[in-house]
Amino acid sequence: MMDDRALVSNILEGNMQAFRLLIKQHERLVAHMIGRVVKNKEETEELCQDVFLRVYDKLSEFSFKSKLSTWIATIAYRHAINQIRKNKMLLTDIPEEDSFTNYFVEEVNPESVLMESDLDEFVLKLVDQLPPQYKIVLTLFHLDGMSYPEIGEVTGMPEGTVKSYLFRARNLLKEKVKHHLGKEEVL
Amino acid sequence: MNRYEEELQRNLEAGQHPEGNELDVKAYQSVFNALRKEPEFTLSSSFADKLVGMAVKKQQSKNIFREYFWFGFGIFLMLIAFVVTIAMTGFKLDMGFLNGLNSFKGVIIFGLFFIGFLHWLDKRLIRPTQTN
Repeated sequence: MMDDRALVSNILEGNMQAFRLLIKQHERLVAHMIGRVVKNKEETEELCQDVFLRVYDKLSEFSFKSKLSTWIATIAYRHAINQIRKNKMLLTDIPEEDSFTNYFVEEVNPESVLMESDLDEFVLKLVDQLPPQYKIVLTLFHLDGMSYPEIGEVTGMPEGTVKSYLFRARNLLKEKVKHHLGKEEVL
Repeated sequence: MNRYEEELQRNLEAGQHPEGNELDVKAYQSVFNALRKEPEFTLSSSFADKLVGMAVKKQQSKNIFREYFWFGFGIFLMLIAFVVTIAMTGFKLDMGFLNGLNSFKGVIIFGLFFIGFLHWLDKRLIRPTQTN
């Protein structure tokens, strides 16, 4: 396994096998981030390509102050946010009040809830309805195993905001799932 | 932040079983499990190859641009050197040497036709035999 420094210097010397290795190592991370905010498959793949081409162009500017994966995730995050702006999606926040559970995640039709056999799918459908920056924070933490400071570095958010986003999003999802589970128990 | 909820989330993050309302714990566990689930979307198997191809093309067009730039810059420098040399030496173009050639018209015309003939022979006889 090549370390970040060796990998980057090989790519800068024009070694395309090293670039292929970089893509293989980070395609999952980039696909997670872009895939969470863009639902169209072709558009997602195209955006992932743009991210890696940008990485290739900017690699000589990478100064090893952070992990290579964090730097790549930062580029992917910016691309995702630009795409959200292009698609005119809202980058709104979840309001602070106790009633925020009713705010962004719409009440799911009880019939569809009863039809929902897979709880994971139910939760992921709820995640899809969250504001994009919440989805990305959840993805980086739970799927890519990033720490709070790393997520802060990727998104440019203070660590406290990252923690707050995670807490509120999971709390919101839990309330919906609890409601769903409660209904199942009644049946 | 609600202390109770925060504690539940922290315990689950640490992989411990949290103490609390059973339904809350169950709901949180479902949320955490779902969030860890790998999304269905995956990039195509040829994704890396396609990208490497694109990067190579990009690099090639960059190199071509660089080559043209230096070629143009070289010509520009050469012209400057030419102008500076003319200005410094006071060189004036004199075609007087052509007058000397005037008495060898026949030799020059023969020379031009002979070179043309050699080229024709080269094309007709020598190159086809080399390609066979």
